Amino acid sequence: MGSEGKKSENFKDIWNSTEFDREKITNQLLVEIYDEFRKSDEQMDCGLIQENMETLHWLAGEEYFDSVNTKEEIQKAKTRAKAKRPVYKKLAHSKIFKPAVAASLAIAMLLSANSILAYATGKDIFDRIVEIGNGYIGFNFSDSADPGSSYRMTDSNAICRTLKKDCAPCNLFPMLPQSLPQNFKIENFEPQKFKNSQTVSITLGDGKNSFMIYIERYSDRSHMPEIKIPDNEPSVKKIKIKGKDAYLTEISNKWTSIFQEGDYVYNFSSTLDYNRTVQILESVN
Amino acid sequence: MLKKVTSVLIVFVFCLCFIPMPAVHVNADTRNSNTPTVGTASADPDFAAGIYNTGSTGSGGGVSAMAVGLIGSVSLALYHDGGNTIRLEARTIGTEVLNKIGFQDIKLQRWQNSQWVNVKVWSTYRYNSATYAYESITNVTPGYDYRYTAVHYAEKDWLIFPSVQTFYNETSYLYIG
Repeated sequence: MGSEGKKSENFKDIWNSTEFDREKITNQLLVEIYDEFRKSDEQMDCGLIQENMETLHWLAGEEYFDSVNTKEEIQKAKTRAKAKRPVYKKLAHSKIFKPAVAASLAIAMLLSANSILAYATGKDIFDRIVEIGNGYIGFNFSDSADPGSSYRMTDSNAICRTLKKDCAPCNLFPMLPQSLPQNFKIENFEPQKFKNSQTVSITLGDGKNSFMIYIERYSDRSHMPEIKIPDNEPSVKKIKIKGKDAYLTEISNKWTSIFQEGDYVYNFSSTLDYNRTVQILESVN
Repeated sequence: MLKKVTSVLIVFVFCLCFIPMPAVHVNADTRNSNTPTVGTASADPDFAAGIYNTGSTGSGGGVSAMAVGLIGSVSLALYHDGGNTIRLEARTIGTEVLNKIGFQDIKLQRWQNSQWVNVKVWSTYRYNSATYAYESITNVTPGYDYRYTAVHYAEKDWLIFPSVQTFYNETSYLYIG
């Protein structure tokens, strides 16, 4: 105790000397206290705070009574300070705030990308999930190997009968597909009459994919358009429609085909994959 | 006397045979000088098909980079319905239901002063449709070669910018006398 008292006296002498910057050391001690207050409960050095407070009291010539539990008082002060904080600051300082924001952004970006994909291709990312395993999700972005039974092909006799019935008053008796995806319905039927030809535009679909048929019947065959297949088209595939050669051309993941039979010229266009498009075209009768 | 009359008649008939020839020749000369030097003449006097009518627009045409595949096939046809009446039949067939489909700047042109001169220019569109078949009948001034040109147009709206595909087409020309 005696040596401590001597040390204190020496320190007091330094403190009282004119050379010593009292304001600077007071500020230094206060800065240290505030720095500790800013730290989390686990990291806060309560001993240093107490020591600095004692020194400050002592330098001011006051007696420091450690009659209170410093750690407990500091905790209470922090709790009161936290309670006064605005809600957004509380949220911002919450431990789950950053991960929650990151997760929300990721979900928003995924949904946006999915919306664009669905708009562009008619198939969203969830349609393309083929396998969910332990810690992974398998996707299939290939149109040709579309799994699942949402496009199971079925006899389209009812649709075909309806279309033939609607075409008859327009003096049109076209060949139509006998096989269509199960959920396909008639989305549009629009006949038109011209001086030398009669036409009908038919759209079959399920809201996501479509199969469009444009039929022209010419009263004068000499004016029928000449069907040309571009020589330099890289994606022309030869198929058979009613036993005759026909050509299927891919344009931006859509398949188009023009076919002539008697007085009729058929334009087909499909947003379905190649296999299903061929299946529909080969069922035309 | 009979011989004289006979020889005069023969000479007269002979002359008659030659009289129309210069007239036909002059007419042919006039026609030739006005024959279009740009475009394709139609073999059929009453029908002219589109030069770029095609089964697939995968090649050629004014196709914008981000929008290939909106137009499936196109056709134009010019009919001479008799007298001074001509008729346009045009088709733009899309590959799916499109927000806007039709014809941009349909031009009825006639060959005049050694160039194609626009007689009439217009555009026509349909909305939310997969196809547009269009017919237009016009009375024209005779004595000229006529043809139609048009830009087949298809548009699909996206989130920000619409995708647009265009395809130029023109018919061969017909003389309307």
